Amino acid sequence: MIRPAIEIHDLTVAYREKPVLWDIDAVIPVGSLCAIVGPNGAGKSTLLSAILGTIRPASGWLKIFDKPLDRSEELIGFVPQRESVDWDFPVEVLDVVLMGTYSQLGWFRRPGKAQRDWAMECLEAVGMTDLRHRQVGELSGGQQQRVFIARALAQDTQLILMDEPFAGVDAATEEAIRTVLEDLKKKGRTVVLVHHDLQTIEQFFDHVLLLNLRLVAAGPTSETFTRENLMRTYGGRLTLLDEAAEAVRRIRTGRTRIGRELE
Amino acid sequence: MIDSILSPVGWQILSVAACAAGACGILGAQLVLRRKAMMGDAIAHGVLPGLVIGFVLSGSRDLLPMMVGALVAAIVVSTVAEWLRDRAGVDAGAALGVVFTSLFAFGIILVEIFARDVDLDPGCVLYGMVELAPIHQVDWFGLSLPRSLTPVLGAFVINIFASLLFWKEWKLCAFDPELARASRLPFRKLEQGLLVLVAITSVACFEAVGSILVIAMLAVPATIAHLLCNRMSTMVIVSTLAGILSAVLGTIGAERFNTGVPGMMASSSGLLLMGAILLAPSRGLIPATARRLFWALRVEMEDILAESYLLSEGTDETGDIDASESREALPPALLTFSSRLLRSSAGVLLGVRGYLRDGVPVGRGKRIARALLKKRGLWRRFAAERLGLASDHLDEPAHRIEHHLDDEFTRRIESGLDSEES
Repeated sequence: MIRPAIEIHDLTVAYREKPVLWDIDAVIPVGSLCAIVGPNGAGKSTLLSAILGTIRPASGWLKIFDKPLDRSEELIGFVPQRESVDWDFPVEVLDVVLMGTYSQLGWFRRPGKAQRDWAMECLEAVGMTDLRHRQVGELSGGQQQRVFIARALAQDTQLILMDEPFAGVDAATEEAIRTVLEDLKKKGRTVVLVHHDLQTIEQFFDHVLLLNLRLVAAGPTSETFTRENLMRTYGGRLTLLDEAAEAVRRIRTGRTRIGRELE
Repeated sequence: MIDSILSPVGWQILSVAACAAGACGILGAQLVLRRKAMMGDAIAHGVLPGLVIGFVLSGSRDLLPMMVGALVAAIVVSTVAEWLRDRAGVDAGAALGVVFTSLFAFGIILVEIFARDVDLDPGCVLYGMVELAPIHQVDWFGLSLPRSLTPVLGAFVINIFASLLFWKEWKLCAFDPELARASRLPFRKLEQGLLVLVAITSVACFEAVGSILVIAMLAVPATIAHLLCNRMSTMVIVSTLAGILSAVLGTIGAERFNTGVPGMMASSSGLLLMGAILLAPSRGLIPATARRLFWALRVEMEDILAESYLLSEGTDETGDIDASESREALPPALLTFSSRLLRSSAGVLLGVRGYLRDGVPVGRGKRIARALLKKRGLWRRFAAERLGLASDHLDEPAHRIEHHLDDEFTRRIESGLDSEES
């Protein structure tokens, strides 16, 4: 049997009353290149945060390489959405890539020559060595994205999550990211990424996870990425869930008495 | 004036003020990086009731009970503000504002109630009494030093150590909180630790320089440094130095104008900030405006040279462009004042440099005109052949782009066009 990199069981995440993810069950095998696909607000980024362990699920559990998330020592590489950080921050490109080495350094140790060389190697992989002394705010959007990719490479982890790395990037960056993904796959790393461009899914990803609040389908691309599943992901609204959430909201805010609702 | 700064009394005032400013400056950098300067403000104010209660309960001016009270108050500020934001749906800035002003007002009431029995008054809370530093002396290894130097120096040293010790952790927390948490860093503890340090620093500097100055020194030097620096390391250093410089200027200024040191310090830090906004090399208003002006002047000069070259020679070397195509100038009355000013100053400059004599480009002026016309022709061919633009769409962009084409780019266009032909 294929060893799972990520195992998700009955996962529910809610911000206050509003559920963002309901009842997710999925297995992502080791060494796969998996795309998370779904409409806006489907909970794609939330699922990444849950795997990263930065938000606590309301119920259910997650396992990373067969270990429950909260007891796992496994580090996870992460490429956040570009808008999530402050690009005016006074750091240079190489400093950002070096951040990827921090967790392996441990407390109180500063990155030295070994880390610097390694970070340069990772910058090389995305073709950014020339710009290593630029302040990150002076880069183009695509270049910023490549810095984040280099930082994730510098983390040197078995599992890497990326939140829409292809969003709004130039052709050179797209090419660079593709090459990096292919290299990672060759090395047997597992990469899970949120992806918007449905045209390229079949070309690049061997696994897909179709998401719209609930899991629509998950599995190998050839079986899962079907017209019918896409219709179910993007087409019908999950009216029942919407109504349930609305009812909970009304009761909480005290606008309606429950009795009247039942009459 | 300088004499009095170098006098023992002046030195003592200055050293207390400088340590307080440095302690706040180094922490302020961390707050500004997180866009949380307001949090420093809130904590510096909000610790007051804790300070007073600690003071009243212990009945002494020992630092320890006041420090404990202040820490409790600081935790109350950040917890209640977070609770208001997350649970009651109050805007984050408003939540902080509500909490710290209420606590500060409560603290002032406490001060006024207990002021009859003890030597604590609202004025001293707000403005501190750094001028009185030399009055209370303690002996340190045979040196007689002001008593209020101990806490501010302590805070300064603690902050330097903490900044060095948690350097990379704080950097990651400030730049990318999500990755910090994903890296299994104790994100919340690190951030709360920073706030605890802010509280300790506020209390330590309170007596010396008062709450207003603590707030100014947390926010202003760090903002100056943020404008000037491209790396966090330089920013923290510059922030600390800017704080100390404000202390020096403030002490000298207070001496000179016979006013209070804290007010003078805050004012001089404000002036330094103004200077940084105007003069910062990359982001300052004056350098940026100057760069724009110089560019506009250069474009204007190149245009004049090219036009007069066409008028005098009738055509450029390649024969692509002739005088009839030279830009139709607007009648002078239709030009705005600023563009007329730009044009005439460009003309004067050309005359002074000797690029243009009697309306004819000479020497270097001629070479500039030729190069520009060559680029214009190149771009028009490129746009027509490669981008497929219609002939009446060529002129206007060519006029704009010709000034921005550097040699490297020109070569690439040239070789691109040549390979097409061959």
